[in-house]
Amino acid sequence: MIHVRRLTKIYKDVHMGDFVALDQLSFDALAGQIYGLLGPNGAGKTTAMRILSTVLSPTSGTALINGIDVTEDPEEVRRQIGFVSNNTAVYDRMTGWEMVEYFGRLNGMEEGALQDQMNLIFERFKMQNLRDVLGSKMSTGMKQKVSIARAMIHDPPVLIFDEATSGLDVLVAREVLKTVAQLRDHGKCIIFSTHIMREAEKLCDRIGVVNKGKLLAEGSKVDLMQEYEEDDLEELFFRLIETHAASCLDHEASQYSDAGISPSGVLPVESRLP
Amino acid sequence: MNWKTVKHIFHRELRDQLRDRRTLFTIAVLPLLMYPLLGMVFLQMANFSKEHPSKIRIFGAENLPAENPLIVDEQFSHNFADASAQELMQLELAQKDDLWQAAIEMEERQSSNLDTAQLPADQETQNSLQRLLDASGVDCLVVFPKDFATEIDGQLQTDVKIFAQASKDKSRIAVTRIESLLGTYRDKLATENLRAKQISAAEIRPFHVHKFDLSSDVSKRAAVWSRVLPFVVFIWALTGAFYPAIDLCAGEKERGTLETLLSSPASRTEIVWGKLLTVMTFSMGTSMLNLFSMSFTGLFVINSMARMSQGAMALGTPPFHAFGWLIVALVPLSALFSATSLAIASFARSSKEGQYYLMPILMISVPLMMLPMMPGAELDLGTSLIPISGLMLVLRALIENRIYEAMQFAAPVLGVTFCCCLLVIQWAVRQFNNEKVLFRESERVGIGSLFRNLVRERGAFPTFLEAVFCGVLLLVIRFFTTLIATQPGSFGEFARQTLILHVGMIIGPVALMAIILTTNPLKTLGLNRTKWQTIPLAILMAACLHPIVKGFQELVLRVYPMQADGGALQELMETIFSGAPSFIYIILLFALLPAISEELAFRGFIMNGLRQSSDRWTAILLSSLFFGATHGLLQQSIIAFFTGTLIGFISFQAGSILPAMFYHFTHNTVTVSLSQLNTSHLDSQPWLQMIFKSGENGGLSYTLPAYFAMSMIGISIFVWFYRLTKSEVHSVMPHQSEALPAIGPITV
Repeated sequence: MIHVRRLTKIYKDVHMGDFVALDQLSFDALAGQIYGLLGPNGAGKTTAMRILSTVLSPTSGTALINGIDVTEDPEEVRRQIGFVSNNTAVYDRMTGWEMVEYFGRLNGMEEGALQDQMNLIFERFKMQNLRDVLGSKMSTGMKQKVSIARAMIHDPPVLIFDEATSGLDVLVAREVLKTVAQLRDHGKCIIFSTHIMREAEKLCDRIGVVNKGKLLAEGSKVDLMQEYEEDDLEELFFRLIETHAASCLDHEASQYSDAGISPSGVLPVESRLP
Repeated sequence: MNWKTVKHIFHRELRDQLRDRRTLFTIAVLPLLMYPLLGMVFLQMANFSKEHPSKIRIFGAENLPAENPLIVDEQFSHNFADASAQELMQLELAQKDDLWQAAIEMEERQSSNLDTAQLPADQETQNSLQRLLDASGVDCLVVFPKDFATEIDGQLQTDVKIFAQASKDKSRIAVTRIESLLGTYRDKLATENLRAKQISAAEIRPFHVHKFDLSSDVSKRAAVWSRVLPFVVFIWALTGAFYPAIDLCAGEKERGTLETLLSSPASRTEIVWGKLLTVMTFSMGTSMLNLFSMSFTGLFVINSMARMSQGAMALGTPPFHAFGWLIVALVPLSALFSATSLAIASFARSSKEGQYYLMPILMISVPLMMLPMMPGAELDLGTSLIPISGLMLVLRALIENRIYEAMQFAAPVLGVTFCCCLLVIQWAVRQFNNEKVLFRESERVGIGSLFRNLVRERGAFPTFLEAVFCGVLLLVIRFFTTLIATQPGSFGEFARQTLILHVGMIIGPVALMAIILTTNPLKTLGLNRTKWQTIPLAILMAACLHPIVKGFQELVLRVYPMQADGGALQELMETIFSGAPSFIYIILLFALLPAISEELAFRGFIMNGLRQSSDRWTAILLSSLFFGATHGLLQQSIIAFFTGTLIGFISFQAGSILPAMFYHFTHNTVTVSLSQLNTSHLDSQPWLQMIFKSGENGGLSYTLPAYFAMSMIGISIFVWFYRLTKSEVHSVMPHQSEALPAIGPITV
């Protein structure tokens, strides 16, 4: 359903020079599965999610969503996905109903089908109380519910959640996770990026650990633990990150020692896990 | 593009804006309330200034002749002032008091200057009189001398003195009133004198002047409204576009809803069109509401003022057809303002930041709106090609019912407006496709962060803001240099001024900024290696494209003829050229110096800086705008803008300013050389006849075959540059450094 190959994103920064946000990222996610991208802040998760949702374009590499290249036909790709992130807010001056209806129309839905789908979604997510509430009057949890409803109004085969529980209280986050699990059960292909270990552990069928734009390890929870001989996903995560950080420092040190100067916050372009 | 999607976006944005109280207040409530309130204040002020009676103290009323009395019963006689004038001039007939004493003292000291109405030089006496005048509450003093009646009877000329304070409105009004009355009194006395001597009035006034105004009241009204209405409509169209544009771009970024929209299937073009139509609707709505509210209120205010001024022409309502034309003109204009506002607003990261961008838009738009309001601004081909100004002039003609004249220039005006709209809409779409703009990193503004950025966080290239600052700095330097510089009297003086201008005023600041603000001054200034072929090809291209550029120059000069004294300029050029030790010096000053200094500044620092936060064409065009603006004269600026765009493109394609420098040098060398050739050279050098023929004013112009052959070669090289990709650009080139003559043949 989603095939990502050697996806690279380099930001040109006036002060820092080239900033490698994604470094040859490759992974696959299938229908009926939740693929978790797990990584600390600044790992490149949001950049990857934005490229998959075609908000950003990659510097190099390819990403196919349901067989469509994100760079070749971004509009069609956006029809195939629903994108929810902590950056995708709801409109303050629109009611919950209007917001979802608007995105249904942008997705080209016929009026009859749209109304049926909206009734279904509002029913399923128990959102009837949000019909006439303006975005500015909604709580964070309500907004996130509307965001999810907005993302799935056109019943896309792929759903992308970028830190969708970030900033939510425990109860609302639990609701969101339940919804994501339900969507998986309905056969959707879901990419779920998070920096919260327990979410990835409970929810994801496959997990990719990323740091500084690189994919460090990938597999099901059981496979990862077996491969790295760890009993706890959290421990495994820390081990991977620390090892990678150390290799980055070594890499920098070797670069700077060649040049006769000391390392400063330059980001590594090339780094490998041992 | 799917127009259904555009419609959905338009409907949503429209509803969103209509639910925003601030927007509603600005576009609907404010215009409806503002004009009546302003009108009320205006009327009160007019009432106060016009109807306030003046207090006039008269000294020496007893000295006035008894015959034809000026003052009767302590009021001006009704022979010289009607009832309302009597009411407006409250007389105080005073005896000799302190005020009189001070006035007489000042009069004596300054008697020789009084007839020139100069205030006395003796500061102490003047201050004392002023203090007494203020304390007395009188607006002005009138002093009739002791022997006034005697001298009038003896038909000798005498003086009446008025003491007033020009710095006070009430005092000025009092003087105007009393002067008018004394004028009537004087005429009456003169007529009596003539009658006594049985001399006809025709002896001293052989003829009268009678004015016949052929304009109807309607056309006079139209002439006034045609200047006011377009300005009001246009300025509100801009304001009405700007604030919704900020909310729809920067506001959405701030609230996080822009990313939501970008992840929907709507394309960027559809998003821009949806937002553009919304902004246009508000721009037109605001403008029309203001127009109607202003006209409605204006009608009452102006008619009330006319009644107050008694006899002055009542302006009346604007002609009805004016509204129709204004609404028609609003469509392209709102599109232009809306797209510009949208493109600029998309650059802002927050609504607050967006507000700062209103000032630059106003700085460019308001002079263009003011130009047609200036006396003497006429609709011709030149003015019709100026965006906004041309449209305003056509509107003026239409409102004044000069339909034929307006139709003559409707095509160029619509063409220019349409092209500008297309370009700006294209720019807005590009902004929405530009990740650097949509997810722009914060450039913190503040003394502390500015210092940190300058010293510690320098990048390899200047930032967008630093590049704009450099452009503005060069413009300011250029402005003051023009004010200070004197006209050179010799070649030596000209050479000195040119050197100071280019080395001190362009290279100096630019090099300093490159060193201070960046870590790689050489790259910043564009002094990079490039493919060696770019150099000879740039030289050949400049020479071969010269016929096209020359043709363009002639076209610009025909559309916008030079206003300056051509004879004086010619004389100056002759002084410079004849004073030069050799032609090489002319080339050094007119070609080499500008090629080095201006390329380092405009294609180097500014273009490379602008490129950091904008796309290639924005950087090329903006840097060319600065390049054009520094050339002072409008005609030179237009030519420099287009040539600068071409040079910017070459520099960009080659990845270095070296080909740009050689192009600039060759272009200026050919232009200066050609200005020195005349028909006699054709006879002495027959080979020149292959390229040139006799042109206007004894100069040379290109022959048709040479024109086509050279143009073809020039265009072919342009295509070569167009196909050049950066990966091909290599080879080592040395770098040089150094310089725009303000006068002479139009070099760039």
